[in-house]
Amino acid sequence: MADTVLQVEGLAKRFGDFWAVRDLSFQLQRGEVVGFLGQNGSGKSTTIKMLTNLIRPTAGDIRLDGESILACRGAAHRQRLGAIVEAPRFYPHLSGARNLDLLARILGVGGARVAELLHEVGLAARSGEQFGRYSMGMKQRLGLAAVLLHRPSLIILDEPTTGLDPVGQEQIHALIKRLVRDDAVSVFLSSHQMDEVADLCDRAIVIHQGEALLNQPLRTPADMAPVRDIFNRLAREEAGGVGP
Amino acid sequence: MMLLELVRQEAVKLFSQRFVYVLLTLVLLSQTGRMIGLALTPTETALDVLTPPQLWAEGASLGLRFASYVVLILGAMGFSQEFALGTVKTMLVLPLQRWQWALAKQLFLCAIGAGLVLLVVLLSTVLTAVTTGMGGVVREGLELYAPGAVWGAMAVATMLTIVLVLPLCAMALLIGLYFTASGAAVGVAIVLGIVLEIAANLLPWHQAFFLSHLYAPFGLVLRMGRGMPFQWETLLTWGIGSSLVSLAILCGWIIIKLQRMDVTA
Repeated sequence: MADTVLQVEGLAKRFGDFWAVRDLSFQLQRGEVVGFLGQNGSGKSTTIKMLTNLIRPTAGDIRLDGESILACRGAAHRQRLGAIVEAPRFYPHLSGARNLDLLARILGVGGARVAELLHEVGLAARSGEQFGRYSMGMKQRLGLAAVLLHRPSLIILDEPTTGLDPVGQEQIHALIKRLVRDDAVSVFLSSHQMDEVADLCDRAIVIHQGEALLNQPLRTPADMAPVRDIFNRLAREEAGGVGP
Repeated sequence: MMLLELVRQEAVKLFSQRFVYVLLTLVLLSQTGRMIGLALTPTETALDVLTPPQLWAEGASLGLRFASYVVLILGAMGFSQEFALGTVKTMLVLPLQRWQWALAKQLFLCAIGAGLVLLVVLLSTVLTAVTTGMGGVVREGLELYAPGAVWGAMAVATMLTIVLVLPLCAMALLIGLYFTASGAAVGVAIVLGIVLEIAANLLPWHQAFFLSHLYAPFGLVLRMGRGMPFQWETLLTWGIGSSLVSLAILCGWIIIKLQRMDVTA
């Protein structure tokens, strides 16, 4: 239990008559990378928003390092949490560096850390440009830098390599691996990409219509097979096609 | 400290946008044009001669009218722009309390409202001094008000107006909380501002509504310029009272709304 960073129990969210998430339970251990897979509308984003306190669950509990984050919408737990929800969002009329600096001041982080992270994500040379002029890849990298500002023990990433070219994806993957290896950071990563999950994750959770269909440890490459099967079946169902 | 930092950040975010300077320029140019036009208008009789308080109040009233629209625009954008850009999701996953963010936005917008009032008053004062001079009210050789009394009335009117503009700031900010598109929020805020102002003056209990007092302080200075007494007792009770009560209600509403809000968009 001591190594459990995130514990989700019976999590549910209802919008009117629609259950976006139903009875979702899982755990995330320290230094573990969990892939969170699902089709559009499966409940991934709603789950991430509940984990980050953006929306209030209808039922269930979320514990970070053993403490419930739902008892109040307190801010203390968020000191240990870094998250990109849906996509990196910053003020388009401010430069990348200025955006990061604003967040750093709220987090009580110095300018040296901002410079260090801009260098680490490969944006140092273009940090003076307006965020609105950044490419999708640059936005993703700035988002990752923002998430890492206060050295959180848990990071939640919502499709962090969307819009990145293969080189950019590889850079982000390398950064995530380094964080896990060197800093024992735990990562909860939502993704559409099987290869990304296979490359990065220790475990995969597949969610469909708000319910977890699979919670699969990924110790060997063969462990990805059931994840691929179920994910491909869901993709075919969503497309309305008939599978083999 | 966190609150002050958030207020500072609101300033950084707002003043890095070009449209703010365009709006301010439009307000000041409109006021300047109006005041110079009034000062240069030839008079037929001695009674038509514009006294310094009249010119000052005419200019300040027009400036305030435009400034109140600026407040409505900036206030309505306060939250709606964060929703539209999606930055609400960046901010609210940070270790800050929602009420701190709401309060910081309110404090900043109130400072903007007060600053705008001071700006139009300053411009009015400068233009009055340059055109008619900042003297007292003199009619047919008789001094009705000494310059000191005029200056005092202007100062009182300015302070009262600052208090009266604060609930307008909170109202605009609250409207922005209900929209995820800045344009819609701004449109509704302006229309609602106009409708409420008209309604406020038509209702039998209009004194209890803060908007019906917004232009009253400068109106009193205008009356003073015409030789009438400067009576601000009603403003002190109903005007200030309704403004402070409205401000408290609106601020509480904003904080509770944001605190309970599910950020789904």
